[in-house]
Amino acid sequence: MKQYRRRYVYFELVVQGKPVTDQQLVNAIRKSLMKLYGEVAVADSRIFLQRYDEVSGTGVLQVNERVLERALAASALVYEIDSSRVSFVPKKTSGTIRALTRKTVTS
Amino acid sequence: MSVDLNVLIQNEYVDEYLLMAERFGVEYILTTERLSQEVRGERNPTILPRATLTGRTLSALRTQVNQTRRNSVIIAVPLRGVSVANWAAEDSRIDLLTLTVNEKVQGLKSTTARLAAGADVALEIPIRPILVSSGFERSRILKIYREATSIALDAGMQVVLSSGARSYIEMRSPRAMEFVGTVIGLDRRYSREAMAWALERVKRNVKRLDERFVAPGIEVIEPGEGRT
Repeated sequence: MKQYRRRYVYFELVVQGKPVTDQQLVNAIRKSLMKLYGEVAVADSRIFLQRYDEVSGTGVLQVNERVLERALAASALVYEIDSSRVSFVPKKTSGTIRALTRKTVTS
Repeated sequence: MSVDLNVLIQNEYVDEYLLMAERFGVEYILTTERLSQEVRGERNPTILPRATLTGRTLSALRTQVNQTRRNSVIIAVPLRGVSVANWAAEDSRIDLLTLTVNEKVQGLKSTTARLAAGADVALEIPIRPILVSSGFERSRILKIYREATSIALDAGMQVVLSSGARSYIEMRSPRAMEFVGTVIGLDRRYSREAMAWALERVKRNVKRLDERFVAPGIEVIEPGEGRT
């Protein structure tokens, strides 16, 4: 099986209402991706939350590179998680966690 | 730096809107809401007035343009009816043709798009309807948006995205907008360039509204001003 290329996305989640847990967030992104692009996209996406801080709303999302654009479009269109309204802000994208950390520290 | 061309600001939450804009690196927010000078103030990011013309007939629209052009940075006309759309597309005082998603929606015609391309009038696509809808309703909206985008791009008409937010949480960052653009058939680079176009247009119009501006390249200056 061909190895897939990962992309790491540093993001911020702005929340209006109750704080959103990591599980709620990743489910909401998968659901949005499913609605927009279907089951195959979700299957290929390999979405995984590497890091997420509920308080600051920042985190790192791991995505299959081939689905990155669609996954981030779906994430940007997440509007409500449970009863909280949210705005997903993708900030930086990188191929490795180390490079992503460097980018986020220097910016 | 970027601009959000269409935000419906609620007076009591002005600070939240500005905080979001600052977080997203948005320099200007344009709103149709008539905020008092006290509320608008000298803030950063800057809140600027925008007019969305609501007249249904050509004569009503002409009157509205004359009334608003001196106090609105951006003038937009919702796409409804061929005659109104064609008039707006040819009028250089109009900046945007806004795509609406009503039941009786009048999509963008290729003739209108060609006229607009000639007069540098852009097609404005607010993303809020995609954000707040789901299922078949969202499919219908996406169909309208994707068709209009394709027609505009074929005709060489500029397409710009705006949030159309009615609450500060509905605002999206310029980078998030780039990705939303891919859903309606714009590539990310085009979306980035479209945001730069919108920023340039706002800066140009702000300059034009300055009382010392006479015509492009001509402005009133005080004695000694501008000499080095």
